[in-house]
Amino acid sequence: MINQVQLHPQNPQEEMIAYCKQNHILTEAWSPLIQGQAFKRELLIETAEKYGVSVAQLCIRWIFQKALCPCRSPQHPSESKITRIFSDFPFPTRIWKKSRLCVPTAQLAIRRMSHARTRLWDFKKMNSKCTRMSEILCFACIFCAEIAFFRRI
Amino acid sequence: MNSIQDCYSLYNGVNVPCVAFGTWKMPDAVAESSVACAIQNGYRHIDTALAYQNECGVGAGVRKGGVRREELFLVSKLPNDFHGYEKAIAACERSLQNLGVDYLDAYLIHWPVLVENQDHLEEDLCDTWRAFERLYADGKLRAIGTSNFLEAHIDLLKANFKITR
Repeated sequence: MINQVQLHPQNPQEEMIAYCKQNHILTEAWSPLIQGQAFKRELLIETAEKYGVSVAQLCIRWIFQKALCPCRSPQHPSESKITRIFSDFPFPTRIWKKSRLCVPTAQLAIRRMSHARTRLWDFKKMNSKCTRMSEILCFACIFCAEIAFFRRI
Repeated sequence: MNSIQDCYSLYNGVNVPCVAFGTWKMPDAVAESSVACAIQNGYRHIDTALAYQNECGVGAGVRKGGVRREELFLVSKLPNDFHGYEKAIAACERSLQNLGVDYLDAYLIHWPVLVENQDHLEEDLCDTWRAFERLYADGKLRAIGTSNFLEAHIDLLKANFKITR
């Protein structure tokens, strides 16, 4: 079985990775480059410079070191953009230390909501706001519901 | 991992090439050319979804890529408004048709989220997974999975089904 989740240095999902490993589930990582935001994160830029690799190489390598499968959707894909990943292979050494970056992203928001409300299925309430299947809308709903929830307390 | 074609193994022995080529936000024409380019350059794992509305383009790109079907690992996903047994079977058939293939290497539940009948999330997830197991048994899917699931969602499947690893 596979579980594909949003996973990158900013959303390391350590509990989920451990859970999946324990249950023989392969974790795939969507948005391994934080949807392009990785190139703006100072810690990632500094770390990449320190090890003489690109930010993209660093993020992909970080995922491989966790024995996960990155799933990257290049935007405006050109041949050079598509083939750039080959300069990242092989990945022989471990260079990455534990991520210091951690801010809420979609997955974390879902997790926080279901923890905060203790009942997992409560987050179906926020789904009622989703009128379309679009992921973007789902994200928007999750964040709106979260904000509404935290305002209430 | 020494090459983009090195694989992870799933519990059922199916090999998954270690890097997926994602196609989110690519319109059909872009998906077609970039998937073909990706395959010609060594990618073997292609990831799409019915919700991306580009499966036809991805399918065309796969054919253009010129690599035998069995060397590829093709993944699609069930959209949020297709939960439930019958609907899931129909959605999978639609993906197969769009992609122009007779099996998928993996089919995932895109989100643990329903568009309608939110009160039936647990039942619907179970009905959907029942359909996934059926499609898997029928040989239409080589592996099944989920996307954006939390531990509790997977626990729900574990409590009710055989194929959860």
